[in-house]
Amino acid sequence: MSSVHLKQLRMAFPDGTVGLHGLSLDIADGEFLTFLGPSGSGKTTTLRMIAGLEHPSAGEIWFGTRRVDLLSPADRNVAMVFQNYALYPHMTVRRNLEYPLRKRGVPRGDRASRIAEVTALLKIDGLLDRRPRQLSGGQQQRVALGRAMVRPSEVFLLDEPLSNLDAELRAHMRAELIQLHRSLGRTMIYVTHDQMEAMTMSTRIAVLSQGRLQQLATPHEVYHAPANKFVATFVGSPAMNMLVGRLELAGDVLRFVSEHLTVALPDCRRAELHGAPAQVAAGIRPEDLRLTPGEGDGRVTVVERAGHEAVVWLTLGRQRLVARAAAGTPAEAGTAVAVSVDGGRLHLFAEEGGQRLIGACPA
Amino acid sequence: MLSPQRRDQLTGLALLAPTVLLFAGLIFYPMAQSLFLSLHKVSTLTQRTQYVGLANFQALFADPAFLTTFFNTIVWTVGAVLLQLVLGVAGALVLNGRLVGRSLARGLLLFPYLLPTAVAVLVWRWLFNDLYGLINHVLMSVGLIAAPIAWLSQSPNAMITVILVGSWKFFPFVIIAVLARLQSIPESLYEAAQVDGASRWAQFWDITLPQLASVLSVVILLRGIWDFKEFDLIYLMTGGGPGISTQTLPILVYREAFQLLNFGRGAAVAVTMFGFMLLFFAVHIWATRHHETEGR
Repeated sequence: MSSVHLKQLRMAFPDGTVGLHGLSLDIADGEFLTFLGPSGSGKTTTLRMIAGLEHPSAGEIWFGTRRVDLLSPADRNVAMVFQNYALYPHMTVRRNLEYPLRKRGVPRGDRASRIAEVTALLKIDGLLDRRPRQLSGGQQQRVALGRAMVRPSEVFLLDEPLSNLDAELRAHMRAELIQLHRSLGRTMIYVTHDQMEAMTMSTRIAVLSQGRLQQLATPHEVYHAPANKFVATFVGSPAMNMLVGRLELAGDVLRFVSEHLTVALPDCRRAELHGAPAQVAAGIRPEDLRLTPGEGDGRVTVVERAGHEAVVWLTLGRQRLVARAAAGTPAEAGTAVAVSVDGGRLHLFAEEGGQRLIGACPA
Repeated sequence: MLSPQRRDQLTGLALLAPTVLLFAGLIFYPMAQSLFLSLHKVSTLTQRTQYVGLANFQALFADPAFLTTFFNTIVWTVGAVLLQLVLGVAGALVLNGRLVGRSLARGLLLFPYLLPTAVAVLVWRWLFNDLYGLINHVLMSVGLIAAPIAWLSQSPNAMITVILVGSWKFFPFVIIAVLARLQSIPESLYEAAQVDGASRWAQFWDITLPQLASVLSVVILLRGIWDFKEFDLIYLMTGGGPGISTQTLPILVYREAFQLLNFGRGAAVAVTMFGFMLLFFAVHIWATRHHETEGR
């Protein structure tokens, strides 16, 4: 087990495109860090560079006090779970689990006891003599986890390991992975484009976009204090509403004014006015948008009733908005609706560049 | 008026008929004819045949020359197939790697397979000639040998030379088959193996070779059949000589039937060949099936 340090990691591909622009971050020993981002954001490239399957064009990778970026994957002592599991198809489950131990010269007796331990933990001890293609997706997933866990490694790498599972199994495996991380206490680095996985499992999330780190923070912070417009709209489902407008002082009250919506901001946010650009973007989470059906100049377009809640899509002039409402909301498609927001819940960003404006309200 | 089912049946039969007729005329009839001939003594002068039971076979198995020929055939087939496998797998691995001028290399490596056997043999006979051959000349000038080697006119050199040339001629087939399979092995298996601590060599033994097992089994089957009944390359190369040291069963069939006009014995050799191949490859297919059901 060890901490992981990335120093100015850069990846330029032979065709000239840059996959990663100087990424630096420190991962603590025992942490569960998730790289979250859309495809092409550089998250898988980063993970593969940590594993040693890809070589950075520049920069350094350290495991604790050991520099590893010039070492082969075998010499780095990492364990990895691949997106498609990459189980050896011609070997039984037992042979698959045994393989990393055999290649590192672990004696036969120790191998058997390690395998017994891991299979008991993952509840796959009944599958030892099967071959990968005789297993369900969930079982293959467990075997892949087992093969990564079977020997002690410095770092545990997971490349979208749940993306091939169906929704129900995915939710189940999320819970198991959290438990596994807790019981193993290993440093885990996880790559996903699924914000749900990132939010539920990670101790910290590194949000990447276009090869640049957008935010490195706890799931709570990423959701409640997104560093910029990209993070704000990428994390959360349905996505955060974005309205373009300006900040102004009306008498003693600071207000956000946009074409169709004006929101008074609490006093504590006065600081955000100083140095604020002319154009700002206000982000509103769907759950922070309050709807009053039956009146007002908003117009409901679609209501998605999901049982425990309803998602209401509406237009306010030319602005499209989405709101979460109680399951029994009387809003119906085509009806009028009034929209209001608590000023304290508004996320303000510079329209240009997208950086978050820092207010002084208590979180 | 025919019922729809009946009409479908007739259409089906009509569609099958050409194939059935071709099969009967071109495959089944010659096979039956061989079997028939192998049980008869045929006079080419009077066109009269006389039933002799298994006499042709008895004479064959009592003949030491037949046993030598049979043994030669096995040596040639096993030697040529093995060498082709080694060359083919090695060639495919090279072509599958990141190689400058890969497509050119692919084209060049297929060249021997496209060359007519007669042309290839002519060139190789010239290269291997013990008086003016280029190979002896080169080997002598670099000092590897002191005196010319009789590549084709001495035993066992002749068999070795034939196996070398045969393997050169046919290994591109192995390359094509193996390369296609190599390209379908997921890269992630190699990555997983690297992470698990496998060396390049271990990756070859633990991943590449097992993944090639099924295609190699088919290649062994096909090349085995084809090499077992290879005639023109060996016949043109050595004529079966020196003595009968490179005479294989197809050459014996040709000699008995068309040079000695002993059709009965020629057919008996052919039928024996057929029986042996049937037996061997039935075992091979059974073994691979067995291996595949439990091995994958």
